Amino acid sequence: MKKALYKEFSFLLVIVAVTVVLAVIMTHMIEINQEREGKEEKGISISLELKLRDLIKRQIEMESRTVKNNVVIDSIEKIKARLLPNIENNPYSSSSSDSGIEIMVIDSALVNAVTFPGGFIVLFSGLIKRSNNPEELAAVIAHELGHVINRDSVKLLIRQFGVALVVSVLTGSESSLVIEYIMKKIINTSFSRQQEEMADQFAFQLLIKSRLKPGRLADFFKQLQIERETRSIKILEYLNTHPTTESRIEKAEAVSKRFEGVEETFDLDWHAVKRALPSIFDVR
Amino acid sequence: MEALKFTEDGRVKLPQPHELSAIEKDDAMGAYLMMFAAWGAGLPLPLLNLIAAVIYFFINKKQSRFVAFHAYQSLITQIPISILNAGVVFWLIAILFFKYLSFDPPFFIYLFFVIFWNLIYTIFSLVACAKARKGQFYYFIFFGRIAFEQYYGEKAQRKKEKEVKNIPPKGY
Repeated sequence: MKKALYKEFSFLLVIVAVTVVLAVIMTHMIEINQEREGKEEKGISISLELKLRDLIKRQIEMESRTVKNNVVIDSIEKIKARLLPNIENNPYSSSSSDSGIEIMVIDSALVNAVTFPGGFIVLFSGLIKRSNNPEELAAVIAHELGHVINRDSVKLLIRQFGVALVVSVLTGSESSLVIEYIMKKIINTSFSRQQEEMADQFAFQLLIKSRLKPGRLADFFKQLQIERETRSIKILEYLNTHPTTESRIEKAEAVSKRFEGVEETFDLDWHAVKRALPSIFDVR
Repeated sequence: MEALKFTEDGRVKLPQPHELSAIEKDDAMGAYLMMFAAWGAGLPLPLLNLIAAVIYFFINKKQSRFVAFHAYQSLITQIPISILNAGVVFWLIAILFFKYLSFDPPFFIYLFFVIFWNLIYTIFSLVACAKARKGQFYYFIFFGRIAFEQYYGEKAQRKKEKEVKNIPPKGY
């Protein structure tokens, strides 16, 4: 009896051991996969990324109306000037004076912001219109800068197409159709939840360093959520590509509570900035 | 609880299906159904399911050896599975309420194995449930032997039933 009991106990132990080993192997495989993605991302050099940025930029300029109004551009420059000096380890920075990060505003009623490879952020004018103050817009830009620094759009491209294909496209064909396809893929594909959280964390730190409340990001998310719930606006693209969960808002608010010191708001007439935006495509 | 019976060659004699009453069969089956009833009653916390199993065992353990065997087997098999499930609950609490952990791959891998073992356990419990209803024994690996040892094994055979005698009050 005892012998049989020990035998069955040993069998159970073997099953438990197999389960543990399988769990460890699965975790290890996920880690290897994540590491491989990291290595592949290194396979696309910054210079290649910058080339893709130029191609995408040219395509956007061909397809969309870029906002070149001085009031708008100056306000974006002011926000950039506050945020960018506080960024460390910027892979696109060629010198201390040049951050290598470019922010473009395009005329669109959509409420959206997209980060392209090469440190290129595109803000849709609809997003600026929905923001209540420059601090909220700075928070959104800080979040997008998180994607820039983490090279999330390159990771997204590798995930979608594979490193070889991306490199071959960038070094070979410059067909506008291919670039348009890549561009649309970036616009329409969400980053992973983990990438969003990392970008949030980056934004919180950057906002604190820039003497801005991290809760500004939560304010913007909350306003968009309320608008979506109450008015069922279909143009709130930002919420589709940036799934906003209660926990993300809560985290931003929690970090904001820990924020000590006085927020240095921007000296900008926000209504004037909004008025300066083109209004022909407005959807109200 | 009834005394153990032995065969002529001294081996323990187990009750056969036709010798067991319908109530005994139902109560033995209930030991396994208790787990599902606890789920149905809205007790998502795995430790509460375990408490339900403990209560059921203590209510029924003196009824008959057959019922006690099944109730005990059901109880001890629920211990490891409850610990596994409690792990998920505490991990979730840590993520949702304390926020110092997040939904990382290790959590989902753990959850996957917990769901897998719960499914396996549910299947075996249903088989045991059906067998108990028919008045049959069903032995889970390892745990079945422990439960058998408890009620029909050498330990049970050594344990003499205390004979209760009625006596008049002191000094009479």
